[in-house]
Amino acid sequence: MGSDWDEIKRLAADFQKAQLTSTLQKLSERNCVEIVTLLLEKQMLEVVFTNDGKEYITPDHLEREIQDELYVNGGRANLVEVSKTLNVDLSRIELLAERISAENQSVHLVLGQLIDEDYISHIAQEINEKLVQRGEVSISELASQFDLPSDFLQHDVVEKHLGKIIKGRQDASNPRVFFTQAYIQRCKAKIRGALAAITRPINVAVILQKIGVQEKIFYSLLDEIAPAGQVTSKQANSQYVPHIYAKTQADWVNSFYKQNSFLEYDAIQKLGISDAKSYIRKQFPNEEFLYLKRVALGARLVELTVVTALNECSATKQYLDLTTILPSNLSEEDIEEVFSTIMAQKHSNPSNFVYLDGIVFSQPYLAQLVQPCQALAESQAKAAIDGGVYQQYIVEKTLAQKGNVSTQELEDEGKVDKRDERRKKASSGKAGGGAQGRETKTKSTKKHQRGKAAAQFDSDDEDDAQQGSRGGGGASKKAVKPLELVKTADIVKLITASLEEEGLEHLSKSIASLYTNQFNQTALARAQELFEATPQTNRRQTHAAIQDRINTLLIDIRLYEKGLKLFPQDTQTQLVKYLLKSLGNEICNELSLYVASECNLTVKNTNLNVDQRNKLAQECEAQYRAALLEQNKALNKSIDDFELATETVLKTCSMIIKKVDKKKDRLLIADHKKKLQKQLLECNEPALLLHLAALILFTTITGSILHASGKFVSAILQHIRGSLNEDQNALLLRYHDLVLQVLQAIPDSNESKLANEHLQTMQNQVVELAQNFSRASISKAD
Amino acid sequence: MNESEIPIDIHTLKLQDWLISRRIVPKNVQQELREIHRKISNALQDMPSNEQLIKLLARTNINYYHVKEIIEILKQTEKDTKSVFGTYGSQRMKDWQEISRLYEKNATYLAETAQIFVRNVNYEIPGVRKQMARLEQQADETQKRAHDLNKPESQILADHSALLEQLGVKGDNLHAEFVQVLSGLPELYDKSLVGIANIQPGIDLYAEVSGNKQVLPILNHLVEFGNTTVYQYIHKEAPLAVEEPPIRLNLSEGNASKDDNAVAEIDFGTDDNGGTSSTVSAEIIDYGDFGSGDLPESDGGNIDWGIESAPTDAVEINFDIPVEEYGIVVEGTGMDGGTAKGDQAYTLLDSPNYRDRFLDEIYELESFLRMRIYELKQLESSSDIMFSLMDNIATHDGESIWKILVSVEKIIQQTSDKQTQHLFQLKHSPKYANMLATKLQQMTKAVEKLRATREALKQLTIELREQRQDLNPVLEELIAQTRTLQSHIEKDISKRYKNRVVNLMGGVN
Repeated sequence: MGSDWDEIKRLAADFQKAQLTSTLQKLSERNCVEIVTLLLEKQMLEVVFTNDGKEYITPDHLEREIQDELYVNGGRANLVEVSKTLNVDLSRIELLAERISAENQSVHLVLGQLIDEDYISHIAQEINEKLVQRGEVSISELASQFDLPSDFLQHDVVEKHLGKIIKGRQDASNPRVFFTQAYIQRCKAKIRGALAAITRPINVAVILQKIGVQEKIFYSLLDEIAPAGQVTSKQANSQYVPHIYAKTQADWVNSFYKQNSFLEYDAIQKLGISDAKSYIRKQFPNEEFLYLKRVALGARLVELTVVTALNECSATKQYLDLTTILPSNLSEEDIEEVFSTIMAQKHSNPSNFVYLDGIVFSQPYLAQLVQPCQALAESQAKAAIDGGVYQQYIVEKTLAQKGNVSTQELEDEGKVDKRDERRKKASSGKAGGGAQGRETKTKSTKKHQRGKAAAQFDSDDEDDAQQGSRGGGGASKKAVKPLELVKTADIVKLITASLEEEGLEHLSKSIASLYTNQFNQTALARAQELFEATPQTNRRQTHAAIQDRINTLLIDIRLYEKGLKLFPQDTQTQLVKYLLKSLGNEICNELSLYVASECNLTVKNTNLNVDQRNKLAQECEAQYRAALLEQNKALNKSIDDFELATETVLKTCSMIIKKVDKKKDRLLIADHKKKLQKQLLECNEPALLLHLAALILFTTITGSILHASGKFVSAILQHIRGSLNEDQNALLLRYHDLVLQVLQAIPDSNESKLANEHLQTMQNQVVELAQNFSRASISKAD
Repeated sequence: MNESEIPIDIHTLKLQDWLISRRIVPKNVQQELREIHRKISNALQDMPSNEQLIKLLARTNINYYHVKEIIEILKQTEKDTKSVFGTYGSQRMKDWQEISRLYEKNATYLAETAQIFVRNVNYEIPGVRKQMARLEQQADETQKRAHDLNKPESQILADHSALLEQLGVKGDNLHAEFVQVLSGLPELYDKSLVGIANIQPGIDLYAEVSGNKQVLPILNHLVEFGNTTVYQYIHKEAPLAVEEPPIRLNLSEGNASKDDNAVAEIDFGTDDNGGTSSTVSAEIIDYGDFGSGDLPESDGGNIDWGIESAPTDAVEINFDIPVEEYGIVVEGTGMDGGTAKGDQAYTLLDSPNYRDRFLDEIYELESFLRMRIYELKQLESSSDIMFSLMDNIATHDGESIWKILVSVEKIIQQTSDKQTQHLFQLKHSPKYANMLATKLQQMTKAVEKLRATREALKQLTIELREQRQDLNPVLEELIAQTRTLQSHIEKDISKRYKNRVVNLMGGVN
């Protein structure tokens, strides 16, 4: 009985053991991972991990899943998407995808995508559908639509199925463009319609943009269409020019010329022709044209109308209105241009005509028109003589001429300039004429005038001289201005009545201006004749005379200044004052009076003081005022200042200061001394005699002259004392004392009478001394 | 006693080193642990049957404190072997008590406890938390992917609807619907040519400018006679009878319709016998007096397809008619001569060849008018001379030409709109119907696939969230266990140091 229980106990223990053991054998997840890792390390198992690491998959099964995914996605599978769907790393997917595409020819691996033939056939059908609908497709467009590489699309899809699934044609020049025959026909139709609508040159780019056709197709189809026009080039800016355009241009030009016999350049340019002249020459090879600036005139028109009318105008001595015989489109400038061109021809005689504002006048007609002016010139000449106007003119002219001559003598180099200036004046005068007709008329007038009288010829020479000197001062300008006896207004009055009958009164001024100079010359000649028959009266001081006088005084002042510098300073100052108050004052008076006459001022008194001269200067013209006022101020300053001021005044008066010539100084001094000696011999008054004797002795001793008043006698005697001997000095001193006694004593007193008696006895001695001392001085010099 | 009040702070990472440095645990503690584990394995071979024991032993790891519990349990089951001296005679009790003693020798149990504690703190608990975070992230991503699939689905549905609308069908029974919309094709042609008379001035202007009275022949014919048969255009007279070729829609069985009982294929082929067919048509179509009136503009609508399919001996008509026959009038006996057959039976806009030629002409006229308008605008800003010159050429101003151009462009737009193109292709291209049906079907399948994928993603989201929820109790239990061990360690060390307070830093908080 005990053994049975033992067996039961053993069984129970075994059962318990089994229970506990099974619990211990349950494996955890981590243990499984370790087991698999161990198997992988021992190369006993090959698996692929999923992304989350929770699953394993064998490569073969993965490959099969990839193929299933390709099928499910309709033949095209993105490997990135497959990686997400299958939950496997992308690199693993890529390796297996490469294996699949290598093993199976119908599967392509393109840019990370698996594509099979079914899908390719499918998109080939889609491409064909698009091609049928639109007529034209490009690979780049398909590449963006299907998101596939261009090369793959071109070679493996389109070209592979071209002619089968895809019914189209490949562009020979661009293999990436495909189109259908129907598309080509449509483009051709569009091009044909567009070109038919064009009637003027137009950019090809505009045509293509309007009708939506490509450039290459346009150029390739253009020849097939054979349009009524042509394309300038195949460059970027090519243009299509229809034939009807050129024909329309030519038709318009031809019809216009046929009707009007002329062509305007502007009108031709508006038609689109850039070079009107060459176009006209090409369009009318057998026609001759007169090519003006704005218009081309038919030569026949000019010959039949203008030339014929001009000949008739000359023959009948009439005038011609060109505006009535030329087309109304021509402007005044055009008409003038026509006239000039005709006159330039060889067989024309320009001197027969005068052109004014569209009217051509024959010379005889104009000569007859202005005939009454001849009497006008005659009467004007007489009036000038009677009124004294012409005499005054002659005086002014003579004065100016003398001034010019004097100037020429002083400045040799100035002569050449004057001559050149004169020639320039003459030349510019001619050029100022302007119109050709006017120039011709001027020449004719001059010749005619010269042939009349020799006096007129002389007058012309004088006029030239005056004109030559016009560059001088203002005074000269005024003096040489030609006298106007006959004015333009006078002529206008006489000819207006005749012109009004013809309806040409608006040209009266122009015609009068042509003849004003001629008739003025006639009047002047006549006045000259009348003047020469009348004796001359009332000569005026001339410009040259005053100039000479001023120069002489200035020379004297310079010599006196030289003498007074030998005295002490205080005496010099007094001598300078005396010199300026005497000679300086005289110079100022001369110049002031001259300027007053130039300014037509009335001067009653010829001896003026400073205040009077200043007042006079204020009344003068502005150009003289400053210089004269300055000169008056200089009288209170030094001799140098006075000389400078005087030079300024001379310049304003167009006067010249002569150059210093020291060779003449000695002669002047000797001449001065002789004058003093002559006065000495004629003098009987003791004081004056002593004064003269002192001056003579000073000049003899020092070799220079002195300008001094009586109060300076003692100073002079003091100065020359050293040069005289004892007896001579005693004589002069006694004579001087006696003179003082006489001056100080009461007149008619006994003392005065006694002094006078002594002066009488000593007078001869003093005179002799002055004379003889001079001789002795010469001996010393020798 | 100040010293006894100072707490002992031990960082978790340095706990094992601390025990060794304090000489509590020997350096070779690992060898002793291995011996102890081996004894435990042997002792497990013989265990009594007890519920508490089974629960304890269900765990994978048995530590010292588990040994203590086992001993307490064995005291109950082995109490029979207890002697008067207090010792147990049972071999089980002896074995487990030996294990307990070995643990307590040199504080080996403390080393093992510390090791388990540190591993839990550093690896086990963070591992579980990372797994939870990863699961949550995957759930969010999957949900987002499911949501992102809504957009392509809407797009494909819109494309599908647009294509159906262009075709004018609903997509339920493609074959029947195709036949139905094709019957409306003549009406579309007539509608597109409503304004055809308005372009007559443009045609006249084009003829005048190009100097050719024979330009744009098809357009001239359409303006004068409307959309007649090719026969009438060629022969300049209306046909007596019209025999349009039958429509062949080759839809594969799978693409035909969604109904199961759909007919696989219908062949409308008819007898090509001229006499018989002519006789039948003559009897059906009653024009009153023969040749007395023009054909009505909607010829196609009068043909009853049902009658055509009545004969049982139908054969296919040969479409490859040589071009040379177009210009030849077959003068047969009786009524054969006035019959429009083959390609000539189509109307001008319905014929593949003449439709292209018609479009060529209408585009040519459009180009002409566009250039005229452009040039007139240029002339307005040009000089008067040029304007007066060109006035001789053009009898219309920009305004009137513009109106003609609007009419021309309207005709082009209506003739070339998508529905008309689809129907035209459908009628004249056998493969087109199949391609359209396949296209529609692919769209439908794509939508279905997207929906299935979205459902799968949603399901996956749910599963991921459930897995994440399941990890919550695991984490809680692990944390509780770790805290228990921490408590044991702190108490044990405290006893060794006069009951001072012991704090393990950096544990599970």
